[in-house]
Amino acid sequence: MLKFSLFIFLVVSTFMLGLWAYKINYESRAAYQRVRQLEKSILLANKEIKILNAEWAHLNSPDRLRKLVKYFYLELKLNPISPDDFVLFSEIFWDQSNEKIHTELAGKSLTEIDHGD
Amino acid sequence: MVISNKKTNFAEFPRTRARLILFSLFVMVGFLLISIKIAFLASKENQKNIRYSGLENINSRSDISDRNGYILATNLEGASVYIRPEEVQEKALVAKKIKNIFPELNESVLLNKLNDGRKFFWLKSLVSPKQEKALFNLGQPGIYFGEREYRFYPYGTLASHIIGFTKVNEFDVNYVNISGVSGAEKAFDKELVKQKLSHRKNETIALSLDLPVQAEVENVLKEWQKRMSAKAGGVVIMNIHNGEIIALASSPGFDANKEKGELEKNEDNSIYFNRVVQGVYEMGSTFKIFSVAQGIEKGLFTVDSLIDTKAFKINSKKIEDKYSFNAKSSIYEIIVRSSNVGAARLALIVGEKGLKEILSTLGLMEPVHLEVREASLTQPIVPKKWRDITLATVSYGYGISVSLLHLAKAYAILGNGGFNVEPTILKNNHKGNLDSRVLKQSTSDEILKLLEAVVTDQRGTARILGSKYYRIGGKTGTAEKISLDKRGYEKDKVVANFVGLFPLEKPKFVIAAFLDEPENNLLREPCRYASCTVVPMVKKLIERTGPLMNVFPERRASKPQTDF
Repeated sequence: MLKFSLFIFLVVSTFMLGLWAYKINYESRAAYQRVRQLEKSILLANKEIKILNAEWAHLNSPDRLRKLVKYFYLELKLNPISPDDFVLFSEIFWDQSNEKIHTELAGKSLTEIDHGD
Repeated sequence: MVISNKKTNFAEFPRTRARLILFSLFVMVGFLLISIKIAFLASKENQKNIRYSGLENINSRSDISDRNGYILATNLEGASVYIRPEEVQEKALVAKKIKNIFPELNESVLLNKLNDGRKFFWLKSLVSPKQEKALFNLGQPGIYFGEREYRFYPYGTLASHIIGFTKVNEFDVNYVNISGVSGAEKAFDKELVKQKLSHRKNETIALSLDLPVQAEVENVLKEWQKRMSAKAGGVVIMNIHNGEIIALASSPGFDANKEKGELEKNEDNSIYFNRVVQGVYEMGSTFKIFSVAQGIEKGLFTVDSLIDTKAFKINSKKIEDKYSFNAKSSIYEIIVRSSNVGAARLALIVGEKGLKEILSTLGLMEPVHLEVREASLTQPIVPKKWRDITLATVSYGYGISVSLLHLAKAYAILGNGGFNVEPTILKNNHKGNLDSRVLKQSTSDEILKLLEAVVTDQRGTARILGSKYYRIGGKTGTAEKISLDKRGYEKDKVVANFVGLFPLEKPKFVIAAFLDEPENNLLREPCRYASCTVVPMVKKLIERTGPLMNVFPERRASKPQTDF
């Protein structure tokens, strides 16, 4: 009897082990497939990022910006940075009484911005 | 023989027993081997090598960026087009339509290729997305597209000489092998390819260049080259402490996206010729400071020592000055007003050994060890025999030809407190700062004072440079060019240059600039001296690039406005 139950136990456990191995096999194949897909999409995304980076660089090329600055000068009044633009902290006009109001105003205007969503 | 069901005793069958034992041994060893293999496969070390997809070949060459991360060179994917003629149905029509898309192609040649029985030919190795779409829209069989990587330089001509360019070595339907030909592309060829193999992430090589500064430098150089009707020009700005090159411009330049012509080797008029790194010129008066430095270093004289500045003959050649000097002038005056006679006398005091010593200390006798190959191939032209007349002419920059980069390096050593420095185009490359003292601190201090006087003294050759913002020091140089027959010098063709250091409160940058055959016609009479050609350009360069490099102006024209 003991031998028989041992035999049954072995058969069942072999069967279970086989099932388990089968499951693991399929799971790992699925995982492998998924990794492949992810890798592929990462590579595609990287490729896209690369193109966008290159485009961004191209659009920001100094020659192009210089032309745009000229074109929109009346609206934007952009000038090359000059040494005059450097100001010491102590030289900044700093009216402390107005500070709070300005900050509040700024805070208010920021919350009023419509982000469109 | 009685066979018992209950008990099997193999003792009676020793051979069977031995076979069974052997068999089970085999099975066990087999299982053991399989388990070892499984354990090995499951180990982490092994998993690293698993390649999940074949797509890794794309973007195989890394990007090159400037010090802020702006991309200077990148790989993009385009398409190549090939044709299998036997699949093409209406050959004449296809040839005609293709000709419409690519007007530069010859229709009859194309038709020939379609008809002569070949199995395959390349139509174009790289087409634009627009052309690709047009070809695709033809809807004709037999036209195939392959993925094709190509190198793209988003800023076109900007910093083209430092970035360099590449060439396609070999290509196939879905494969291309690109290698660098010049500049950083060549210098870091191995790293650009290797990085991709070892890391999955695409890493960039960061150069020391600062794109905004570089753009401004090229802009100003282009403008002044035109204004001074100069043939060519060059500018280099370098950090004097770590040797990092912040901007390097050589004009005329090239657009690596467009021109892929053969690199014309060391031809002076080639647009690929890097005039700052490869061009060696006699530099003129910018050399005068070197014999002074040696004299001060060795204690032979001081800045106030009086030197004979009367014209004199040496090896039957007369040395004289363009302006009149007193019979004796101080070294201060010799440098500030740039006296050839004085410089020659100083060189004779310093002697052959001394002059050679200072020139080699400052790296003027050997190629500059910049990463780009062009630099290591550029050997300065130094005299073979050092007679007295050679000493005299070398002291004011004739008879010895070096590149602008050589001068920038030499002045960097003079200005940084006397430490050796090696120019580099890599960001945070500590190779630049060799941290070895080659000159005394006191010598460097004295030289800086002299160089500032050239700018601040009313008689100084670079007095126009007196900036209301920055304290600048430097030396001008104007050298007549050797005539084409190499027998003498051409009076009306000069190379005008200037090398300066700023801000002098705490010297950080060296700026070297030159113009080839400049002529300032905006004055009452044409002027070719550096003082009226290169110096105004340098002033503009410093005032434009100083703020971009976060150099706080020491002096300001007026109090800043406070209209809040």
